[in-house]
Amino acid sequence: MFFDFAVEQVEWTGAEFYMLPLGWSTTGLWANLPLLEEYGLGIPEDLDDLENVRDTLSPDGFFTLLVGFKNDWPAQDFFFYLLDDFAPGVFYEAQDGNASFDDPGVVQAFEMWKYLHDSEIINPGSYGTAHYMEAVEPFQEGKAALMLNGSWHTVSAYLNNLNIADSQVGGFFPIMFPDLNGDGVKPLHQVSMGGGYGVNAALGDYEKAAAWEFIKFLTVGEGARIHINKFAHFTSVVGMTPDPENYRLALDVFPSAPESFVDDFIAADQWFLENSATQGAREPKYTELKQALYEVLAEVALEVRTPAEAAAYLQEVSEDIDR
Amino acid sequence: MRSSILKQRLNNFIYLVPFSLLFLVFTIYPIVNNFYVSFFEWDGLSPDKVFVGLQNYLDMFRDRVFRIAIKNNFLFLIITVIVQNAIGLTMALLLDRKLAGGKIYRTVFFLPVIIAPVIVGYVFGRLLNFTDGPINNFFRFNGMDALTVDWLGNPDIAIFTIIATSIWQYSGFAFVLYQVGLQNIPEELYEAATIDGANYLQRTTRITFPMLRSTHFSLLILTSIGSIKVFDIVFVMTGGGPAHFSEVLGTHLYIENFQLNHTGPGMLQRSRYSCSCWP
Repeated sequence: MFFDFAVEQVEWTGAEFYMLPLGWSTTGLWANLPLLEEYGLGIPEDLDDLENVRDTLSPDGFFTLLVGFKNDWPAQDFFFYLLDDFAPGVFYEAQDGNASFDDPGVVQAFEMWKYLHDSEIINPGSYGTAHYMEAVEPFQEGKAALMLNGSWHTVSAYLNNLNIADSQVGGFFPIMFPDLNGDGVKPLHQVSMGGGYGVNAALGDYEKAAAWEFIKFLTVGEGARIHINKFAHFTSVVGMTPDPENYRLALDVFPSAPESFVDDFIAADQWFLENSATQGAREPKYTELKQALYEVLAEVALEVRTPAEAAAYLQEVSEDIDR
Repeated sequence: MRSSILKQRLNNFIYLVPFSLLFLVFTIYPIVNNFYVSFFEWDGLSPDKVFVGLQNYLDMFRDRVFRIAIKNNFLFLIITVIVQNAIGLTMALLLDRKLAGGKIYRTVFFLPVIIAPVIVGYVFGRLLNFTDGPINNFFRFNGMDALTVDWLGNPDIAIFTIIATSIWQYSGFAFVLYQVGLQNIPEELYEAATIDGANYLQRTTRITFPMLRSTHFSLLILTSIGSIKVFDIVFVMTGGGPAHFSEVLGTHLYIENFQLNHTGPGMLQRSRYSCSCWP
């Protein structure tokens, strides 16, 4: 009934709690299609394309790819794409202790990370920039070709910012992350669970039964339908898709929105549903690894550590984790 | 007679009970408990704590980020104490000379003090942003690219940007205290000095500065406490980054406690932190 990847992400809770997955979303890149089109550029498919976008747009003051790495999550999301490109699956294996973080592919991913900063494909000053709104806002104002975000942006970019989106809602579209190692395979998205519902095992039978009833309503019943239609989260239930008519309700709330808003919104969501192949969970299993990863990503970008040293440090942290 | 004194003392004691209870529960107990927990490896939630003796203390001093945080707090303290109070004193001296619109200046200088540091941090973060901030954009659009600076993303600059922002916010506080101090200096001292031929600089250095000794001391204590306790403005402006280069004890403690769930080491820092900030 549930997507396997959704169930996998609530298993970590162990024996004390029982959980069912709620909605999910994926990380992703968004492209400003009108800007690319205006300069005769297509959607970037690989590193050469990204460099071409930079060379073409930067003389006119446009950014190639906007991110705000003052927050850890965009840096982590972005790097996971590089990991999936250069060392698919290694991070997930390594965090379980079944592979090493100083794998050559991981080092290459760090090298690419550094190159993207040095070459200014990633906006300079990214480490002093908060993703929301210091990176998102200029993208919405049309100052960049690409922006890191995720499928959740279908909600945040449009419904909450219609005054900006009014003129541009038809222009932004999610794209697959470019293939940066040149093997012809594009990295996959990571899954981010929008939450899960759990029942405390210590409850009495009556309370437990009542809680399960409510959870059923929220995860597979009418509650789930309300959730995906109102909040545009993808449900974890196989086969449950949003009702297009509900998006039209947004037009009553935001009468200034163009008619194309609904179609674009649905198209964007549909795109994610059709491209929902994922590389795995968006979060590392251990906070120590998450923290160390963010730390070394900044250090590599700022030339405090070399890519090889960064990978070795991750391995060192991993070996200290009490699994 | 004796019983009435005892009764009076008992009454006095009863008045102290509410404060004492709150003080014990919310100040003494957390400090003692922090100290106790600092000897354990604990995630803050689990019922099981593992006694590790002094290991957390050894780890703390080996921790690179902790050393950076200590250095940054020290920088914060030294620079803030000197610059912030110097600005406050200068402004107070200038306005002590009965300038036109003195009340307006006073209000304007003090205004930042009443703004929440989170808001100040957020506003300055937006203003100074390298990617699309108005200050850097002003230089870019006017052909002065060489003057653009990554104020918050450059590891060598970030902590100084935060310190400067904090000084901007709190100089008004030093200014007000110095103004009050200046008003308490007897006018006769200046008159006597003037008759003796002392110029403005001599009157300031020989009379004003020494007579403000208690204000200097109060500000030294208050600014030092504020510098050691600093958290919000750093958290909002850089989050301690990039790569921990602007980390202070407060943000490091937050990461240890609430992101890594290292309650033992986090508590250890918190006990050091609370002791050093305890007025």
